[in-house]
This record gives sequence, structure tokens and C-alpha cells, in this order.
Amino acid sequence: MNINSHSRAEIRSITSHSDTWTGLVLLTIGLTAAWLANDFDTISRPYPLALGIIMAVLGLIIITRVFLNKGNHTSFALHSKVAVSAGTIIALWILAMTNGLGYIIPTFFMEVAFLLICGFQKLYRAIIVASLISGISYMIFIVGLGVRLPEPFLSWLL
Amino acid sequence: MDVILLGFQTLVSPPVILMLLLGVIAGMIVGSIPGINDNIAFAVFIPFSFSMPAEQALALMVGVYCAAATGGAIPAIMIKVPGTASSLLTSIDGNAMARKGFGGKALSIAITSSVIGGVISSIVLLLFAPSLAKVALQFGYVENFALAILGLSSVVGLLKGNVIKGAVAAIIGLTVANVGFSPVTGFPRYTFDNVNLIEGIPFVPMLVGLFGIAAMFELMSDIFKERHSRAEISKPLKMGSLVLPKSLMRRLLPVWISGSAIGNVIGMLPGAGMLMAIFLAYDQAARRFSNRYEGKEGESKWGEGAPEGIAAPEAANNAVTASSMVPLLSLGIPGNSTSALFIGALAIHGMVPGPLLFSQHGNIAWMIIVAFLVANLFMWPVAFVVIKTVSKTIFAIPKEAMVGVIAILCLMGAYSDGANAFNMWVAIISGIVAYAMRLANIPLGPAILGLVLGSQLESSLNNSLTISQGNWLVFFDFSNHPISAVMMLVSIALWCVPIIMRNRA
Repeated sequence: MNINSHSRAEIRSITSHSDTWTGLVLLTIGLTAAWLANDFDTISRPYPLALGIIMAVLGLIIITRVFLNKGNHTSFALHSKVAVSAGTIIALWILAMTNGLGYIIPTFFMEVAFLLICGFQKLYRAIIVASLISGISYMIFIVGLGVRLPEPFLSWLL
Repeated sequence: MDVILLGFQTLVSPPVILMLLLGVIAGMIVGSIPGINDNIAFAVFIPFSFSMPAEQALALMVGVYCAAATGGAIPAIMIKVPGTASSLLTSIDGNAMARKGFGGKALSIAITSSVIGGVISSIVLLLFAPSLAKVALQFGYVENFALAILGLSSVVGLLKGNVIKGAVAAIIGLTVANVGFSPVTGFPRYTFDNVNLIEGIPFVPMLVGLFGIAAMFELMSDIFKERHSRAEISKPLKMGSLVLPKSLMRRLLPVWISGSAIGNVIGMLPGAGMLMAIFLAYDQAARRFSNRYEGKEGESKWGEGAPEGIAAPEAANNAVTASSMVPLLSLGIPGNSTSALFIGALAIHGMVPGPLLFSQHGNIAWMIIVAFLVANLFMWPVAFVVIKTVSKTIFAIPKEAMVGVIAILCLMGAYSDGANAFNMWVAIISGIVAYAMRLANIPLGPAILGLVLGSQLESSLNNSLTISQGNWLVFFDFSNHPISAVMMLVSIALWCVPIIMRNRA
């Protein structure tokens, strides 16, 4: 019973270890890259194939090091929250802008979202700051540098 | 001498010199915003250089690059929040000195040290880069392959931590560099029938993502952590006089020289980075201080306001800026991550760093070198004006607002490269990958180098093997390719020594 719970705890510590996941990701990407390289012509194949295999082997080594208790553990909890929330906001901004909502409206909402997520307490202050950033960046990039944006679906949308 | 004059002639045309000055002012201001590191400063200015002629754009980038490192010292001293990672150690003695009412003196030491370090390293760049480029011009395929291997090995070998993760980073960079047409046969690889990937992953948006977007994520996680710990940032202290007594300047002269020397040597090593230089210079200065001044009447303790504690890291960090351009301009190998961004700035204008830059775009190459010298000279008056005028306003900018600002600058910067929405996706995905790599303790430096050197490595490997009829020992052939053989042996040593030393320890 004791041995069972001990080994279960050990397995849990290995599966929750950040290096285990790092190694697995590398192993998967490496093997995929090597597999895709098989379709390349004979001269272009060996180099990417070798790199893919080396990446997979390095991934395996990193996983093995976790089993030997030599890996470095980092908690991804807070960081994944950051990456997911910021990534979603930016992705929505790109989709809104490229689907005809113009520059000002998506940028304004993106800035408000970032300010609120980062801890701006008062909404009216966030609205003022977001308006300023949207307006100034519009003047710099679109008016000043002449960057061409995707056509908005309403002609009056900036 | 003629070529230096050519560089000066290109630089002194009014729009170019104005852009350099503007770059110094902008770099100083952006660098002094807490939370904005020199990589972000550089990444957000790349878009501004799109629409400019190459001379003006590169002058702007040189100004930003030099001044951002110096600007970071201002908040480090006044509010103990380093504006850039390079001013990490400056905040210790600098802020302690400011707390005693000598903030002005601390700022003067920091600026003077930065200018001295920068000027010395500009001279090193002027002397070494062209000579090294001349040697590199004689390199054939075999030597170019060995050079790329040496560049990658030096980055991995110099990593203090995990050599395996350094190797992983290099392999990631080399693999990503495979996307697009094969440099040997033109066969499309890893393109998934996407036309945007035919020429490879767009380089500038990728760099903007790797540095700018990833730094934005880091800033956000810092804000989240601070919110949990309820840490408070101290208010700016009173500045006091900015005058630097002559006796103190005499006392700091040896520190400036040693700090600059350390910065220059470290800066020229690919991938060694600014932090290594400032820590070594700081350590050197600590020894000198404890031998000569510690315990004497009227002297602070080390870490509590010693002027050497400001002078050494500041001289070293600015010495790294120009010296890190030596391997980049002469060999095409970036000395540190920010100088890797310089490749992007050059690429926008159709230039490739390396020995051919001097023969194909001599006026630009020499202008860049001369611009480093002039930018450092501009920095001295500009820094004092920034301190006296805008620094208080800068400290009042909330960190929370900077997240959105960095996001919009990076995304629009990525988009501006060809007005293509695909670039923004590249930037965001690169940002997420760089952030994940940092969390997994996989260093970014070797990956950047892998990206830069990937294509050169493959084509020179293929050509070398074709010439030698498939003989892999051609790279170790002392009679026909002695430079290659030496570089390969040094590379092997760079990989093995850290492993052997670690096993012994």
C-alpha cells in the first residue's frame, strides 16, 4: 500500500514537472519535422531530417533527466494565464481589424481590456487612457507613416 | 582613413544626423521608462524606419540602441527600478547614493561612465570590424560552415546553466530557418502551401514577436505578481547637484578603463551578453573599492552608495553596445540579442550584415560605425536635458498603460512590413513561443543565432561536401583549411569544457 502511494506520488511529480512537458513538446515537434522532411527531395532532405531527429533526441534527454531528478521545475500557472489572456485579446484585435472594423474601435477596446486586466481600478480612467493611445497611435502609423490598413466595411470607420 | 571620411560624409548630411539625434533622444526617453528594456525600445522603433532612406533609418536605430542602455540608469538611480536589465546593478549603489541626497551626482557618474564606455567601444568597433571583415572575405564554404558552427557553439558554451537547453534553442532556431525554399535546390520546405511562407517566416515580424511581444507578456506577469505581493514602487528622490568633482573623476578613471575593457571583450563574444559584462565589471570594481577605500572616513560601504558601483556597470554596459557590433558587421554573427535585432533593421533595407556589407554598401557600413561614435557624444548633453526635463513625467507613466502601448507598437510594426495581416500572427505566435521558451529555461540567444545562421550553415555544408566529394573531415583539414580546423576545435572545446567542469564540480 505504502509502496503504491509512494510510486503514485513519484509518477505525479514526474508528469507535473515542467521539463517533462518541455521534453514531450520537443519530442513531438522533432518527430513531426523529421516525418515531414521525408517528403522533401533527396538533396533538401538530410539537413532538416537530421535537425528534427536531434530535436527529438534532445527532448528525450530532457525527459530522462526528470526521471533522474536533474530537471528544473518552473510553475506555468500564472504565466499561462498571462499568455492566454493577452493572446486572446490580441487575436481578437487582429480579427476585428482585418474583418472591416477599422483601426480605432478594435484598438480602443484592446487597450481598455489590457488596462483593466492589468489592474486599472476606474473604468473612466481606462477609457481616457485607451482613447489617447488609440488616437496617438492612429496619428503615428496611419497618418504619419502612411500604413495601409484593411478596408473597413463602413467607409467612415477610421 | 578615406573610408572613415566616407562614413562621416554620409552621416553629416542634415536629415541623417538629425535622425541620429532623434534616435538618441527617443532611446534615452524610452530606455528610462521602467519596464521597457533595450530590446523593446529597439523593436518598437523598427517600424518607424520602414519609410525612411537606409542611411536615416539606420542612424535612428544606432541612436536608439546606444541611448536606451544609458536611459535605463535614470529610473534605476531615482526610483530603484532599472529601466533596462543592463542597469540592474546601477540601482544598488546609485539609489543608495540618491537616498543620501546625491542623486544628481549618481546620475552624472552613470552618464559620464556610459559615454566613456560607449566612446571607447566605438573606437574598438572602428578598428576591429573592418579588419575582421577583410579576413572574413577570404573565407570559402568550408570556413563559413566552421564559422557558423563556432558562432553557435560560443553561445551555447558560454551559457552558465544548461548546455542541453542551449543546444535545444540552437536546434529550434535552425529548424525554423528551414521554412521556405531550400537554399540548395529551391524545394519548398515546411510551407504547408502557404504563400506567405515561401520565402521563410517573415524575419522582422518574428523578431518583433520574439522580443517585443514576449517582453510585453513578461511585463504583464510582473504586474500580476506585484499585485499579489502589493509591492510599492518608491517615489522619485530629490536630485541635488549634477556637478561631478574633478577628484572623483580622477578616482573613477581606472574603473572606467577596466569597465570599458571588460565590456569590449565580452561584447565581441557572440551571445555572451550585456549582463555578463556588467557583473564582471562590478566584481572588479568591488575588489578595487575594498582594497582602496572601504573603511576610510567619509566613504560609504560597498552597495551603499560607492561611486565605483555605478561607474563600472555603466561603463561596461555601454561598451557592449558598439563592441557587440564587431562580430555582427564583420562576420554576420550577432554579439547579443539586441544586435540581432539590428539584422532586422538592415534586412528591411535589403542589406545583409557580414563581410560583403563593407564591399557592397561601404558608405552605410562606415556610417554605422561612425554613427556609434557620434551617438555616444550626443548622449552626454541629451541625457542631462532628459533628466532635467522629462524624467519626472516618465516616472509617472503607469506600468499598466505600457502593456497596451507595447502591444500596439509591436503589432503595427509587424503589420507595416508589407501591410500584411499574416505578419501580426507571426509576431504573436513568436511572442508566445519566446515566452514559453523563457519559462522552460531555454535561452533565446542561441535560437536567434540559429535563425540567422541557418541558411548559411546548410548551403556552406552542402557546398563543402560537394567540393570535398563527401569527405566530412574537410572541416578538420589542417593543411588546406587551417582556419576551419582551428574554429572547429575551438567549437568542440566550447561544448566540452562546461560539461567537464560541471561534472568535476
